[in-house]
Amino acid sequence: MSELAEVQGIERIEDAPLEGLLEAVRAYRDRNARFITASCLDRGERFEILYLFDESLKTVAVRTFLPKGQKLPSITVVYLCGFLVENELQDLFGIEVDGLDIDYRGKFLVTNTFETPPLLKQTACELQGNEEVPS
Amino acid sequence: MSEATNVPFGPQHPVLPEPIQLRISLEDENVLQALPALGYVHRGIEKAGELNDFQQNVFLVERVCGICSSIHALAYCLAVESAMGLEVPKRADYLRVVWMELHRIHSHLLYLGLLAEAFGFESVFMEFWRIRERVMDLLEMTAGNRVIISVCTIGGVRRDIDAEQAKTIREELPKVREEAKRLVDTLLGDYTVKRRTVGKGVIPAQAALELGAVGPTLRGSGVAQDMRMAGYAAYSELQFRPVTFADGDTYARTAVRAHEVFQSMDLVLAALENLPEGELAVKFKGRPEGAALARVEAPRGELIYMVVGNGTKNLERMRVRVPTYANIPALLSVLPGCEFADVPVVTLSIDPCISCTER
Repeated sequence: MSELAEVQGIERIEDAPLEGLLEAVRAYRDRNARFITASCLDRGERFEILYLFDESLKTVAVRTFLPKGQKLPSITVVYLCGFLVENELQDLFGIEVDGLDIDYRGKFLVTNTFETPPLLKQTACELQGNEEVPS
Repeated sequence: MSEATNVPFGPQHPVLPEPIQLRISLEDENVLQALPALGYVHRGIEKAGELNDFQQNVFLVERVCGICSSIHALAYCLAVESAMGLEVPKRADYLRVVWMELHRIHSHLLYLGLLAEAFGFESVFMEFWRIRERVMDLLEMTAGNRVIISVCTIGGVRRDIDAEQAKTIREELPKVREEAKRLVDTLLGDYTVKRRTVGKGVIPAQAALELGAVGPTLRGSGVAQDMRMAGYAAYSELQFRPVTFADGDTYARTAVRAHEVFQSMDLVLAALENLPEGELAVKFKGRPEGAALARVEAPRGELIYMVVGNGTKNLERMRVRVPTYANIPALLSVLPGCEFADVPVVTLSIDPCISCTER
């Protein structure tokens, strides 16, 4: 699956290798940008992750690619508020985040009934439980 | 030093209409730490957005929230329209402003009522909600429903506001304003309310930015940031200026919302005054290909939808970032140091919407 060429509404997307992610995010912090959120896409062999920032009402982004099975460095050392969305990445995509400040260990939003992370493309959607729908 | 006591605040609590838990560590009556526990009612709407037809998603996203439902639909429609390169008719842009601002008015009146109730001011609570009903009646008159009004569609709006309805809105809003002003003056001028809110839960401007706060939570800290300034829909033509208060406390956040009630009334009246003639929606063919992001200002703050299309009727990804989600870190930062008795009011001051958060 191909990566995003551009996103309407995002002024600029800066690519950062995994090892340079924190440095790229820190540069936005130094410029007083507000962290908005992170958004992840399952691209088969890897994840495409966009970190979105606000700079005077303009949206800018840092993008990194995470091969499946590798750990994602936590940005909470730079933006503490990132812990919510990073826990969500763990829950919904099964990504392991390294150095997460407040770590719910994959049980932030979802319960034990989920065997596979729900937002992975391989996850088939089936009715949970065996209850019959009352007629 | 006494031992810390852990107190679960929620998921059921009188000031929390929806389930979220704050796990609070106390030393005597002082909060040491607060951690959130979410997931009680997570609904998987982002996943559902990938499984539905992209046009049906308009109705799905309206059900993310029972208060700002229409604003979710607007943000989603703006994102899809951007991905498909659609230009919305001017009349639809203005009508969108009318309905979005009516939503903001009833949402803020709901908050003001809930805050009054948190103090034990039952009669003020009921008065706020009584006048809120008159705004709900306007929504019902123009859209056929009170909350989930389903007016937005990809390419424009599904309903019109005729001259008779516009006249009714123009007559009704000044009456609502008069009553709201009397109540707001009572609430914000009250000695007890000030004692419970002034200087409580202070978020300095720099901290609010660093913690990613949005909406009245951010503007209550003196940061003039409101997505309506970006000019989506018809806001660029309505001379919009954000309401800010500098103190960063619970009182300031409440004052921002109270003043925004009146500002929204002005915006509704201005939009009706300048309502252009024309089509309600643009016809389109095709399916979204490529990605787009839309940011709008919901009553609780910046709401974001990102859609990734692949040319099929299903989206590759639908990402939703709601304002309460962004305001939780700021809330967690101000609770330590508070007295336990202040936790309900300070928590309420970000106007938490768990329905949105558990999308």
